[in-house]
Amino acid sequence: MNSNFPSPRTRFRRAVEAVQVIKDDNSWEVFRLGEPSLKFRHREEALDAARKSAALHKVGILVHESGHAAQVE
Amino acid sequence: MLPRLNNRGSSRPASNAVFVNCPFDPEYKPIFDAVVFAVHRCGFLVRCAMEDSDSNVVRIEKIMQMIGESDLGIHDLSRVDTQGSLPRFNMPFELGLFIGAQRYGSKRQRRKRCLILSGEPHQYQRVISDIAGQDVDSHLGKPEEAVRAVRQFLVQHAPRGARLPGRDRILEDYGHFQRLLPGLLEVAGQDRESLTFLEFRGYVRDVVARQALIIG
Repeated sequence: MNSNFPSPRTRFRRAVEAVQVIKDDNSWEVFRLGEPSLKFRHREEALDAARKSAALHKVGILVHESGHAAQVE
Repeated sequence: MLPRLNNRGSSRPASNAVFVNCPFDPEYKPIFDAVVFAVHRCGFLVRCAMEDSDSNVVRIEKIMQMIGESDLGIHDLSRVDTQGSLPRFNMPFELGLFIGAQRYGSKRQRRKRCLILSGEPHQYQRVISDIAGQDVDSHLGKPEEAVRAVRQFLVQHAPRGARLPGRDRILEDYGHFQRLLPGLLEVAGQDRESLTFLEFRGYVRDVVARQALIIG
């Protein structure tokens, strides 16, 4: 087993720290856990805001969409 | 012979453990998950029988050890009522152990406090009237009512100076947790259905640690 590969708990913790982008019925919500959220009508607007926040905090971005989550740069 | 409760004397610091005694079936899961989240969001630690599900330790011994180590307890008796099936005796039995430890245990055990939850107001009077005088509340089968009751109980027994989040804050944070959990687990290579209780509790603590860090 590759000891360099992070454990599920480590991956979960990194995901918790990330900027979350989540699709609602008619909007996209952007926030970090425990912080106020911003809502956007369009996906690209939401991703732009997420990228700025992620760069500021030096964390990743996690997009929750259609029942799945994907990390984006 | 039953093992002794963990009586390590009153000099031991107060435990932040809350023994949760409740049904573990799928129908109860929405309330259980909300209770686990609320307890941790208030700064406490959930202990329950499921945390040792794959151990060889005899279940009752492990339960008694957990009760001995927990200063607080939440006991849900909402499933004790019979509705065409046999009553569930585990919950009232474990409540009896908890109250027995409080009554007959060491000085530390006498600090124990518990919340008894029922499904509807005064339900307990029909099934276990001897608990009259205890701290009883009802969740009406709703997770948000369970969160309210748990928060109200814990705020009375939190360490001096502790500031617990309000009910609405806990519910909002729990809403975020529920919405994000499937995605967070997917990234971690996990899924909710196969998580053990200890894994679930660990993930709840990770999320709560982040939420409490910012908002408090």
